[in-house]
Amino acid sequence: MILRTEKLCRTFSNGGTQQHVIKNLDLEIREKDFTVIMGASGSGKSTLLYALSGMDTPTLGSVYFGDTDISKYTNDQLAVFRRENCGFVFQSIYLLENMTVFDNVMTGALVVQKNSPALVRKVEVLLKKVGIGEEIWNKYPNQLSGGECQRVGIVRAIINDPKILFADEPTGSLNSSSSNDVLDIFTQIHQNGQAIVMVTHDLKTALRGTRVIYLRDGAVIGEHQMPPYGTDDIKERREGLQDLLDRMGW
Amino acid sequence: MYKILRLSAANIKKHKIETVSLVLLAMFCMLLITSAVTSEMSIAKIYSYTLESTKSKQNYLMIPHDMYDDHYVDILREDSRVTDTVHLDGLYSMNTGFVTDKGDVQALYMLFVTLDGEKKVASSPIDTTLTDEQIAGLEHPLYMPISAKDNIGREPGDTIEIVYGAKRYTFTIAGYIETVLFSEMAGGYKMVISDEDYMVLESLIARFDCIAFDTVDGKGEDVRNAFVERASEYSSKDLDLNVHATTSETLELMATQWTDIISLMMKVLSVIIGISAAVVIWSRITGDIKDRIVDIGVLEALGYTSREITMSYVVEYMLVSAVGCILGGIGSLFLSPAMFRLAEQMSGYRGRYEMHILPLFIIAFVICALITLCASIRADMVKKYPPVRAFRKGIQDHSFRSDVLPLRKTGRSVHLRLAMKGLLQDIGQGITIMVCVGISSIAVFVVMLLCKYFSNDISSLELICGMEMSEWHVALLDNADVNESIHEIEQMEGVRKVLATTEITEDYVKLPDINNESIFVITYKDYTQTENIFPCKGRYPEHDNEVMLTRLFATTHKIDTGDTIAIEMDRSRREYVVTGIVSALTNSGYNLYMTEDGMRALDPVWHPKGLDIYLDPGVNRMAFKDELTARYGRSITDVHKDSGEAQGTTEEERIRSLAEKQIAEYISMYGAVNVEWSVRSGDTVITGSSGSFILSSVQSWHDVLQTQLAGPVFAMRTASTVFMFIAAIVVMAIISIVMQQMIRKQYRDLGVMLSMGYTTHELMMQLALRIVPPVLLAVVIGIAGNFAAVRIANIFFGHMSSDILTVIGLSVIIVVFCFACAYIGARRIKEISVYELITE
Repeated sequence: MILRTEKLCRTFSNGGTQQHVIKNLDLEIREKDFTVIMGASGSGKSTLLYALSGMDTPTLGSVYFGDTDISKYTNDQLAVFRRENCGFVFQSIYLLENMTVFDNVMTGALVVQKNSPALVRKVEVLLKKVGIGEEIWNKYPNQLSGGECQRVGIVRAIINDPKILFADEPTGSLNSSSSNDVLDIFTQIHQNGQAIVMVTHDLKTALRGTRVIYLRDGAVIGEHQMPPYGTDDIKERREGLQDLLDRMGW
Repeated sequence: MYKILRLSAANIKKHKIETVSLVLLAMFCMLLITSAVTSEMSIAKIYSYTLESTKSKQNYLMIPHDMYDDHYVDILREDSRVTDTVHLDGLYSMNTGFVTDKGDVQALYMLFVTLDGEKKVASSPIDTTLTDEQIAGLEHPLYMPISAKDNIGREPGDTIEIVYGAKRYTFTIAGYIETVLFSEMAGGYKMVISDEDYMVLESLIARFDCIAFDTVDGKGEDVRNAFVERASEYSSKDLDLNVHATTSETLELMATQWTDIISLMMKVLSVIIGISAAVVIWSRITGDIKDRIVDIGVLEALGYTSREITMSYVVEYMLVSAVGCILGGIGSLFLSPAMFRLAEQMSGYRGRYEMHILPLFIIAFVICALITLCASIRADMVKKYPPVRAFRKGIQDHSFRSDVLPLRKTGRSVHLRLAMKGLLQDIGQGITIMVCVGISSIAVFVVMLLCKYFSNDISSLELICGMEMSEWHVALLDNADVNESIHEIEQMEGVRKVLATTEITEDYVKLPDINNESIFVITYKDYTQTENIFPCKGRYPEHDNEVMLTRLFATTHKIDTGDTIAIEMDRSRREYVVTGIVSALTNSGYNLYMTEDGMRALDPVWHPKGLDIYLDPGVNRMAFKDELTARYGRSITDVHKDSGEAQGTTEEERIRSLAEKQIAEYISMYGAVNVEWSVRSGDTVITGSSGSFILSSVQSWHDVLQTQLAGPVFAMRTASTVFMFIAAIVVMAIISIVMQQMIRKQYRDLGVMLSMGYTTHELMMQLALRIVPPVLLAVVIGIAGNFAAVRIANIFFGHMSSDILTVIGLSVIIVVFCFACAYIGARRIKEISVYELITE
C-alpha cells in the first residue's frame, strides 16, 4: 500500500455556501496498481486526486504516504513531497510555454536531480521512447500538436522515477489517435512497475487500469478489479467494467 | 464613456498593488516638483520682504576706522543713484565666539552695534517675552538676529557668554531682532548691545565705520565700485582692499543659495521619478496588452472598438495620475511651507509664505498630460490586434525563438539558471529595471557624495576648502620673530609641526591685467608640507615666479596652467607663471597661492605674520591654546585695556599688570614693535619688555568653518535623508510593479512549477534573482554617474573624491535592497494555489 486516506473530507466555501465534495473517505492505493477513478461530473474525482497527491490539503482527515501523514505538511513540505514522490500529467498538459520541449523535461528533472550527462541521456531516451524525435526537442510547445505536448508532459512526469504517477484526464483534450498513443505509453509505464492513479470519465481510458474506483458525492460506491491490460480478452474486460458502470448508473 | 470607465475600473481593481505603486510614483513626482516650485516663489521674495518689514537700508560699506574719513559719506551722496545714506560705527571681529550649552566655544563672526546705531539702519520690531521694565533692569542686554533663536536655542532672559580671545563677557538676551545684515551664522551675527557695553568692547575689538545707503534700483555693487574709485582718489589710499561691501545683490543671493541647491535636487529627483514612471507605464501597458491579448480579442469580438479599449488604458492612467497628483498636491501644501521655513532658518530672514495654487494646477495638469500621452501612445498598439489575431495571441507569439541558456547545460543551481533564462526571455523588463534603478542609483550616489562633504564631520570638506585647517592659526605681532616663534612652538608638547603663512586680513594683491581684481594671498615656504591644499591640476609653486590659482578664479578668467599673470602690490609689479589650479571654498573661491620668496619678490620687507599650528592626534586643543597663551603672553587683544585696575596681590604683580596693559596699548594703538620698561619702587627696580607679546590672536579655521557650515550641513543632511527615503520608496514601487507584472505573466507557469515540486521560496528566489543582473548594471550606471558627478564637481572644487569603500558599501546596499524588494514583492506566488490552477 502506497497511499491511504482516513476519514478524508474536502469542503469548499463559496459566498457562504459550503460544498462537501469528499466525505469521510477511507481509501487505499496499492503499489504497482493502475488505479482509475471514475464518476460523474462533480463527484469529487479530481478533488480526490489532488488531495492524494499533495496538491491540495484536506479539510478534515488524513492522507498517509506509507506511514507519513502528509495532510499536516506545509505548502513547501508538500512541494518537496511532490518532487520526490509524485509525477503529474494534466488534461490541459501545462507545458511551460517559454521553454523548449527538452527544457520542459529538464525543468522537472533538475528540481530533484543534479545535472549530469546521464540525466541528459535519460531525457533523450525517454523522449525518443514516447515518439518525440530529436528534431522536436528544441521546439516550443506552441509549435507542437496536442498529442506531442501530452507525450512530453508524460516524460516530464516520469523523469524523476516517481513512486506514484497521477494523471487527470490525460486524454481529455486529445483526438482519438493521439489518445491511443498516450494510453499506450501509460500502459507501458505501468507494465514497468509504475503505480498510477488516473482520473477519467472515458471507458476506453479506464480499460487500461487494473483497479477502477467509482465515486459518487465524494464517496466510493463501487470498485472493479482487472488484470493488467493486454493480458486478458479485451471484450471481457470491457464487459466487466461496463457492468460496474451500469450498476453505478453511469 | 461608461463602458470605458468600467473597463478601466476593472483593470485597476484587478491590479491593486501595481496601481498603488504607480500612484506613489505620480505622487512623489508631483510632491517634489510642486514643493520646489511653489516654495521657490516665496523664497525668492524672502529678502525683499525682510528689507521692507524691517525698513532696512539696502547696502552697506564697512571701512576700518583708521582708513575712514567723514567726507566719504559726502562722496557717496554725490552719486546720483544713491537716495539715502546713514553713518554708524560698529565693532567687527572674526576672532569671536560664544559658549555653547555643552561648554565648548563655538566660533562666530560678530558685528557689535549699539541700539541707537541699529535704529539708524533699520526699525525692525523686537521679538521678546520680557517687559520694558525687565529689559531696563538687565545689566548687559543683548539683542541678537532672530535666526539665533533657533540656532543657539536661547530664550529672552537667558544668558549667553561671548568669547573674544581669552576673555569672556556674559550678556543677557533681551530679545531678537530682524536684520538684513549679519543675520545668519555662516556670515556672522549682528549683536546689538548697550552703549556702556559697546564702550567696553570698543577698546578691544576693531572698529569699523559703516555707511548704509539706499539706491534708486536697490542695487549697490556698481555704486560701491564708483565710491571706491572716488574715495581712493580723494584720500590717496588704495581703498579697494579695505572697503568691505555687503550689497543687496549679495544679500539676496546669499538668502537663497542653499535652498536653491535643495530645490534643484528636488527637481532633479522629480524628473528621475517622472522618467521612471514613464518607463514603467510603457513597459506595463506593453506587458498588460500582451497578457490580456485574448481578452482584448474577446472584447473586440463583443463589439468594443480598439479605440475604446485603448481609451480604457488611457483613462486608467489618467485616473492613476490624477489621484497621484491630488495626493502629491496635498503633500506639497505641507512640504512647500517646510521648505520655506528651512530657507528662513538658513538665511536668517523672516518672510511671508504664500501658497501658490496656479502652479500647483499647472504642474498637476502637465504630469497628468504626460502620463496620459505616454499611456495613449503605448496603448495604441491594441490596434495591431484585430479579434482573430488577438485570439491567436498575436502573430509574434508564433515566431521561432532561439533557445537561450538550455537547461541541459545547467551548472550547480537550477534556480539561478531558470532565473537567468527568464531574464533573457523577457529582456524588456530587465531594461526597465536597469533604467529605473540606474537613474535612481545615480541620485543615491550623488546624495551620498553630498552627505560625505556636508556631514557633521567636516573633515572631508576641509580637503576642498583650499586653506590649511590646522588646529590653531596664530596671528603674530609685528615685533615677533617668526622663525624663533616657530622653533619655540615646535618644542611644545603635542605639536606636530608649525608652518609660517600669511595673515588673512592683511595680505592682498591686485591683478592689474585681470580687471584690477584684488585677491587674497596664501603663502607657504614649502607647499608639500601643507595638508589641505591640493592642486587639482598642475603642481605647487616652487620658485619665486610661480603661483597657483583657485579653480573658480581660473575658470572665470580663463586662465590655465602655464599662463603668465601680472601681480601688483604697493605699485610693485611682477609677472608670475601659473603652475597649478586649486579647489577652494573659502574667500568666495578666490585665492592666490605663492611661495614666501615669491611674495618677497613683490615686497622685499614682507614677512609672514601667521602660523599654522598642527597638533598630534589626541591632544586637547583648548588645553594647548591655554598653554600657548600662558607661555607666550596673553594675546594683545586679551590684555589691551584689560581693565582700569591693576591686578595682582603683590606690588610687583600690580606694577607688571599695569605695564603689560600699557605695552598692549602702545602695540595696538601705535604699532610699537619693541617696548622696554623699568620702574624703581623703593630699593627695588622692576624691569620688563614687550618680548612676551607675540600673539595678536589665536583662532581655529576649523571652528569657523564648522560654524559657517552649520546651516548648509543641517539642510543638506535633512534633504539627503529625505531624498534617500524617497529614492528607496520609488525603487520599491518600481520593483513591486515589475514583480507583479512578472508573476501575472507567468501565473500559469509558476503554478505548473509548483505542481512539479518547486517550493514557493525557490520560485520567489528565482524571480528575485532575475532582477539582480539589471540591478548590477544599474549600480554600474550609478557608480559611473557618481564618478561623472565627482569630475564635474572637481571642475569647481578640485579635490572631491568618492570613498571607494562607501561606493562599494552603497552598491551592495542597493543590490541587497532591490533583491529584498523583489523577493518580498514575489510573495504573491504564495497566493497561487496549484489546485486552483489545475481546476481553473
